[in-house]
Amino acid sequence: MYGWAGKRLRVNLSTGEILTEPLSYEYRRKWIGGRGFNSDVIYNEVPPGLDPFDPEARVCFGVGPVSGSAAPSTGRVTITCKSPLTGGFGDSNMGGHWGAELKYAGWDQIIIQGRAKNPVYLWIDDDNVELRDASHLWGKFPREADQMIKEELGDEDIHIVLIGPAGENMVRFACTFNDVWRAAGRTGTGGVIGSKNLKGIACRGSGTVKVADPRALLECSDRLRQAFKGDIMKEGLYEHGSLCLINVANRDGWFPWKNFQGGAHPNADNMSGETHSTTVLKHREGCYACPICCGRFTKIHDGKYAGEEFGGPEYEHAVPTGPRLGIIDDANDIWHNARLTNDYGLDGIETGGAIGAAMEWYEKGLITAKDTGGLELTWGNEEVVDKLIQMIGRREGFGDILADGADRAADKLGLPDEAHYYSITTRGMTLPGDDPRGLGFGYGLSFAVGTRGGCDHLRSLCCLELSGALYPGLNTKLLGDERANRPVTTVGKPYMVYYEENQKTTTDCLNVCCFTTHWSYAVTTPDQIEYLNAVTGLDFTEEEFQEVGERIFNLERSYWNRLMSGAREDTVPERFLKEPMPQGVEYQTNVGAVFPLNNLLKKYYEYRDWDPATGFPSEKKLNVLKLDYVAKDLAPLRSKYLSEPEKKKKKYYH
Amino acid sequence: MAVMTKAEAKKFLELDDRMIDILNFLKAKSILDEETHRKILLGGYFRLIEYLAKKNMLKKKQADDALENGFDSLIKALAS
Repeated sequence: MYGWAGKRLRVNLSTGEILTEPLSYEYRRKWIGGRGFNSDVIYNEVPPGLDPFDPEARVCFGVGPVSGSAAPSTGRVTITCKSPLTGGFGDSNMGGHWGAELKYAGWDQIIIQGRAKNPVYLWIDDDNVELRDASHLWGKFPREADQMIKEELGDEDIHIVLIGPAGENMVRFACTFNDVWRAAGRTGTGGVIGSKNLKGIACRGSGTVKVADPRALLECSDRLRQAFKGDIMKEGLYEHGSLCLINVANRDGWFPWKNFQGGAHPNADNMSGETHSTTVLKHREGCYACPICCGRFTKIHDGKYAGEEFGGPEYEHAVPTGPRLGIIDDANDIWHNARLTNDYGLDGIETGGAIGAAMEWYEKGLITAKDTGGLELTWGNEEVVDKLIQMIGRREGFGDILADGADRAADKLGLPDEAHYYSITTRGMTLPGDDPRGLGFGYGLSFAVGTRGGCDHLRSLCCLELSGALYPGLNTKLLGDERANRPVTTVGKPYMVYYEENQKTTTDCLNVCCFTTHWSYAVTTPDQIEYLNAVTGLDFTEEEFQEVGERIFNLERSYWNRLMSGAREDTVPERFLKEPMPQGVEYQTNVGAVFPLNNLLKKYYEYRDWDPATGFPSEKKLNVLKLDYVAKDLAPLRSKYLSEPEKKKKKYYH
Repeated sequence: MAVMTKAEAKKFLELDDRMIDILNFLKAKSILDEETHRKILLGGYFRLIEYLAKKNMLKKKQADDALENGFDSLIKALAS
């Protein structure tokens, strides 16, 4: 067998049982790897009604057939669970080196189930797998626990997945790290791992990836690496990381100022990649086999946070606990907040989303200092944000309420429906720092229909409208209309979202970094198939490859449908539909824009072959995708979804 | 022989998002079968041009123009 290790590890933390399960040829061909393997397990083994924190819930770690090979950026790993934040399907993926290491250890996937009596961590040393006591690691930040495990195992070169205190405290949006700083941020995977009393997974692999045609792989990889030389997106990402987007976002009006009340600010450059690079950038760090090297390492030199160091931040990490909360004047405050969310193991986006919603509730008089334990939740109040991030991580006081996410917090506080308007969520998940009134209508549509909730900044990734204009002719080639590269237009967007969702899903099955295939389009779909076939020795066609993406996307969609989440819930926060974008800077390009979701949804359903009344995939579509068992699951639910008792838009699902 | 009328072409040119409507139209005309329709949808617009050129529905220049200029050129070619 080439490419895949051909087996997965199943660990039951309740019983201590550790099993090896083979992955058949048919299975590998149907799901490819990573996101595909994981989504299949979650659909089949985690019933929709199960509490995500129930010991019987699963959390999966998956890598793909090219993981750990010489193909560009093949070190990612996908983590999948039933999301404790949304109650629906949840996954997130991260870079670093752990994904490649897992492959070298001889595994394609890990399934964790059960709950350990006491804190443990999993130690994978090739085929030798054991659970070890982690009592002494409980409560430690990932950067501390990482070093302690390395010392304990006597190997500085191992790679470790870890959660922080937020995961241990089952914060519903706790994230998961590897190599200390590379985060699988979204959907609360860290909370599920914490609920199982699992602190982390240390991994050492001494094997390799068996490649069917090494010459073909090296030729392809070399050609692709050459393509990155001079690639405009690669240059921006290398020079300034994803913070290179700050000034672009500000110009095009998708910079989330004060919980998306605005889309631009005159001082945005304070936190731009250009500014970061010349003030606090310590060094750059790349993930496994990456030709881009977008990772940052930051050191704050002055002010009250002088001396703090951490990996990052990313655009999506810095913006939510910065400008979204009205913080912009001193960028060190923003870097510090990003460092805090890292240390506690919090999804920076959801942390900012929850605090941002609370600030707006406070501004509108829906809550007062009496509700917050005396915290004055005024915009830009860094002292309070600093405290509140830590209180969320520790589940203390008002932080304990926000630790369940904005929508649940509104309900726990007994706030009126109006409060949900300010939550800025879809299916219980807050949107990332990307206002669809500026970033683009394709992105907006993908937020509405995304299979992990209101987040698709690393999901469908409609970069054909973000960076498509930098690759002249690309939108014409793929979509038949160059005008689709304009963000604030409906032209070509339903097809763009359909195409990009399928493509991104297969990219996540390969566990390849999407910065090589979407932000930058140096690697195209035929290139991916070329290296996939070189590694595996198989004969994937473009159609088969894209169809796997479509299959997985529909499987994930069906998971939501089983929760009675469909067409009614396919929306974005009302602010984007109702409030014309105000002017923040004079050069802003999208003043007055609102997001015309309804013009796009109907056509998108046509592409997907989803029933317009329910938003469920048609039986025919599911059968074509070899998901006939899913069609049977959905059959009795189609009319139920349309019945009167169900006709209330749901905010979250458990 | 023209695949579509001028009136049909005008209607398609007015659409914001054309891919699925054009593919459905070509399927209704039996120019595409179900499987090819699906394959092209998954693969992208350029696969449609490749297919139509292979089937001699487009001359080389028309196919080149359609690849360079997108649906605007393709629709005009199919109506000519």
